[in-house]
Amino acid sequence: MPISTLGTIAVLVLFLLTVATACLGVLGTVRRSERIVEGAVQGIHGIFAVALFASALLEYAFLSGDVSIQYVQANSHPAMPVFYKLTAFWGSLDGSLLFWVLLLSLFSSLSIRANRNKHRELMPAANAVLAIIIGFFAGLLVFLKNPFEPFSVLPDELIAQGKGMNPLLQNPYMIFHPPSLYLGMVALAVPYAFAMAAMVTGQVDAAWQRAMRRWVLFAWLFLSVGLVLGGLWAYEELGWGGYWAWDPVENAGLLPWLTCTAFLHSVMVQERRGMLKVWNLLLVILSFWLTIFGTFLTRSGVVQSVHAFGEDPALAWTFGVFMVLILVVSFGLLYRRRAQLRSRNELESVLSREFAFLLNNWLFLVSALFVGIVTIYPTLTDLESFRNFHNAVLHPIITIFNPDAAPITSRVTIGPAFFNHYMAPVGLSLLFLTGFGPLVAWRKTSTRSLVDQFLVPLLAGVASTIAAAVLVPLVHAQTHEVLSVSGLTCFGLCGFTFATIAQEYYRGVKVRRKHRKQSILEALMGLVLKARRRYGGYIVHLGIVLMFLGFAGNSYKLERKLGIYPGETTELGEYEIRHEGLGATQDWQKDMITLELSVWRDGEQVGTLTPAKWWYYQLKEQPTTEVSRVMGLEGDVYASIADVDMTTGWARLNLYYNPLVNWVWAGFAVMLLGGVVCIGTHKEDAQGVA
Amino acid sequence: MALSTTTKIGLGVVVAGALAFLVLSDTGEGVLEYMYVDKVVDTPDRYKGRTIKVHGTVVEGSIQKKKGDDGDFRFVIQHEGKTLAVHYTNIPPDTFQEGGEVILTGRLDDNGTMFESDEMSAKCPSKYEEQQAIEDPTQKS
Repeated sequence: MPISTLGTIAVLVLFLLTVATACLGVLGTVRRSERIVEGAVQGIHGIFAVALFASALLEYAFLSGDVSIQYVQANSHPAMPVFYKLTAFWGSLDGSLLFWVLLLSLFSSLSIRANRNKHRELMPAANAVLAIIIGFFAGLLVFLKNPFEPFSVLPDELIAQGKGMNPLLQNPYMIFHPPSLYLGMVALAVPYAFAMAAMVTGQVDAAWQRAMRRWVLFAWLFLSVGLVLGGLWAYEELGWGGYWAWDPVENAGLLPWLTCTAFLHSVMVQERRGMLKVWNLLLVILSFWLTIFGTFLTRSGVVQSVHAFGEDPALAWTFGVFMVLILVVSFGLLYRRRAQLRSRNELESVLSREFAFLLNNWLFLVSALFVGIVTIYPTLTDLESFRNFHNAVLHPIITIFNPDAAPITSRVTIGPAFFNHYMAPVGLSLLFLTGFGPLVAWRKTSTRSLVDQFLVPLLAGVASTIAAAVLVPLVHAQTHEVLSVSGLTCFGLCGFTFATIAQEYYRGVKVRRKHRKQSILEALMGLVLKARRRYGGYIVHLGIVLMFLGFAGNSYKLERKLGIYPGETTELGEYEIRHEGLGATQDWQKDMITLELSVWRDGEQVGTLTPAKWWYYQLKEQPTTEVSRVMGLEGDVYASIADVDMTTGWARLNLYYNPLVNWVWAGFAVMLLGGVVCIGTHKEDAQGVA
Repeated sequence: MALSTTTKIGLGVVVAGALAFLVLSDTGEGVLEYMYVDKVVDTPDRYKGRTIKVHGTVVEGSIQKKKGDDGDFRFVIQHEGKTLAVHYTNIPPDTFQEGGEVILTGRLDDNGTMFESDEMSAKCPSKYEEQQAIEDPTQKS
């Protein structure tokens, strides 16, 4: 039997099994029969087994180069390294849907195993919800996007080779970036399913949330990894000197990250003070919804043009109906349970931990709404009816603030400058709250403790602002005349927040050493392990501070575009850069032209840059730009070639000096470590939460 | 004890003030209208003097290039039979080629006949399906 037939059958079996499991789950919820619920549980495990089989089959098709299958033909090439053949599995829409099913059934299986006895009453409904979500994607596979679809007519010699993956995507970061985002997104279905189960059965106490916090944390970690790997890839592969440009694909991953981060904070308020119960459910629902929204947005092509909607109306409608259904059912349930979800306490003071968390949550939610709306806005302006709405309703409001604004007559594009204008202040406010939150007490903070808590961090904040104001012009004497307000604010807030974290650790260690004879290191380890969630959280915050140092450095970025002949020297800030020669080489995959540049500072050579251009034989007309950089804690000297003339050795260069950029990656590593510390939280710790 | 009314009003004022400041300081940078060449050629007066994004296909044989320190390209883009001359003064992306699609950012000159641009994103003619063009963020460089 050909793989395409076997695969198609597997996908069909998968779909039927999810339908059966969903039915058993619903029936089990209504009838409360042990045997039916047991059937649904076994059904979930069975779904995972079939999904695994189907995925293995698709991988086999890629490895064996079975180009009779359309999806394999479109995404594979005989010359591609094995590793990339394996990852081509999720390279495009059809395969990534199967990958989604595989991951979701794995997570469903695991979460049901783990929570069977602990949260028995939630099991049947959770089973049903998970099976329905898997069923949606399995249904897409069966009816619209079968990755095993064979060619109806065998392709000719030329096509039979396979098209292959874009060389730009053949980069190690790109192997881990998409699956990492996927892991994060898919994992959010589990807390959603349990939240729904809690609302269906009316068991809306805090117990289920404690179990789900770890899933959200897990999802948050993988979303973070995915986002940062995407940034690293852009930075090292694309040659425009930056790592984040508010691209729709990036934004799609950021949206659930924002709501997850909000949830991880607000869930503490519920545990401690019995407040924000509705809010927390809302965040879980929204996070899950945003993963579906993001997948639809990026995978359907709708963000590029609304016409993609018209090209595949079945897919668009299916997604659209599913997204509306999720909102209606979830919020309907939430409304029904509103009486049980009433808050036990009220907000008492602005100088309280609750208030800090509330602000943090509002900022994250508003950011998610802002980024989401701005990301789809250009697509909406494709529609004439929406343009009319904009010109009639929104345009008059805009002209109050900006009299020059013109009514729009065609699609609008929204670039990074617009996002940055609004999101930079939000980011700085969040950084401030990172420092402020841990300093204020639950309920309210007394004046005495206010002075005691804030004195050192505030001084540190002022000191680092002054230090940055003095140091930056001193270090970059000629190049940075203008001091950036946001840059200075960011440095100051980094100092403030860093001092907060240091103070918390210092006090914790001091108390611990008073009670038992321990070295500082022992006390520190003991402290972190005793209250992982609190001190792990501080490690995450430390990582955030370091990342913001990198963002602050971005305000002092230098950028030059120039042409240069062999032997010539050019300047970039304090650096001198000399053209040392141009060389042409080749290997089995590609032709390469490499430029050698020596980098000097104060008369000493600090490194060599070797930016290059590669022409893959498989895709000659589209050369790739190979970035080269001289890395340092202080910043990167970053070069990419735009154009070369082999006869004269002339090259056109993009040169960037990116101050403090590596702190972004270093900070991320620290953040990851903190996240791992947190995820190991034991149940008992929940009481000693910060 | 809940928050006092004064505190609530104070918070409201702070939030409204911050929002007003953000909106008022917004110069509209980064927000641009985007259209195909034919629309610009048909109604040039509408777009004169404004920075816009224009989408079109580079006409075969039209690229004239000067090797020099400042990128200086002249070429013609077209869509639905309507053509527009372009003067491009920056480094073009790797994917810039004749027959390929480009999206240019710039302004129409006073005559409405020449498009002055210094920002371009380009995509390959048809090698990849739409799916991959979307995932290829070179377009934003």
